[in-house]
Amino acid sequence: MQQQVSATRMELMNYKKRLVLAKRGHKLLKDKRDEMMRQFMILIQDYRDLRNKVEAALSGAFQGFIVARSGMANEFLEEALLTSKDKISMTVSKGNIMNIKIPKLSLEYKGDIIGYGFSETSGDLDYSLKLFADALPLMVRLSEKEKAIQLLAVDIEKTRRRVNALEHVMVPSLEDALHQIVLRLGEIERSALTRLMKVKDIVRKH
Amino acid sequence: MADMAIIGARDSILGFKALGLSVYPVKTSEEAEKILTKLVQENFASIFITEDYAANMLKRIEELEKEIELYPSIVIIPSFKGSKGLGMEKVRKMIEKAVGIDLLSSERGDS
Repeated sequence: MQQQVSATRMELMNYKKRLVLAKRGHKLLKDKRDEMMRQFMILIQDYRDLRNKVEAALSGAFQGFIVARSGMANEFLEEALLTSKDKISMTVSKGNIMNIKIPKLSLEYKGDIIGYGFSETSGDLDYSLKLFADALPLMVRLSEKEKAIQLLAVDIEKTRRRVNALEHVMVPSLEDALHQIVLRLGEIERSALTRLMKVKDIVRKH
Repeated sequence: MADMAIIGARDSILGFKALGLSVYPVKTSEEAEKILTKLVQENFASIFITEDYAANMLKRIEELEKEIELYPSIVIIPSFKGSKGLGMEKVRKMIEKAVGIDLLSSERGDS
């Protein structure tokens, strides 16, 4: 990329400084990107395992629930579910990966899932609810991980763009400018030299 | 402090009611979209949405996620009809955008 630079020593110094800075920034950002990618890979691995577990757990739970539902009258079922004494509470805090804030969720159970009488409900319902309860902590962790991946993905993209911009635009253009200045300065020096020689020649003739 | 919500067909999600989640049964994707838009403004830590409804509103979910800072996270879960892998697909897209290559499926091929 061509750009207009004034060829002075002052400018030369400035450009040298900027080039050093750009190179250092590039190196740092590259390191950041690499580390982010490493963390990202770990997250993805975890996420995939979790996702598989959740899908398996949930499909089991859903099936159990459908069986339970078919074995019971609708109003009894709804009543049973509504009277559940189970209370979950989530504690939300912030974690940190590479200075990116990610959510950390922790789940607390209070009370019992089964808050209904046993006379009108089937054992299948107890069982399927137990399955749901087992799946829930996994789901919480899944949501935590998914958000982390999403946030990290955005940041990796940003960092990657920056690295590329520095590497392919900033550094080459600075180097180019530096080169131009050096050439121009050399040219000025040579012309000054020949001028001097010419002047000396004229002086000598007199 | 925060809570969890779940959006989906009545049959799928009723079981979560007993666990103390906020349950939002819907019948159409439009309904689900409306509820989701409302819920992200509220104080939920995670919002789960079943696949059968999420399928028609992936764009909207993406849009909403961009606006959200930290909470809630929107997670697609399979419905009672079984998993079509939409939840995974969503994450796969995010990864592809960030890294430029599809890490999930290539790794799956190795293992």
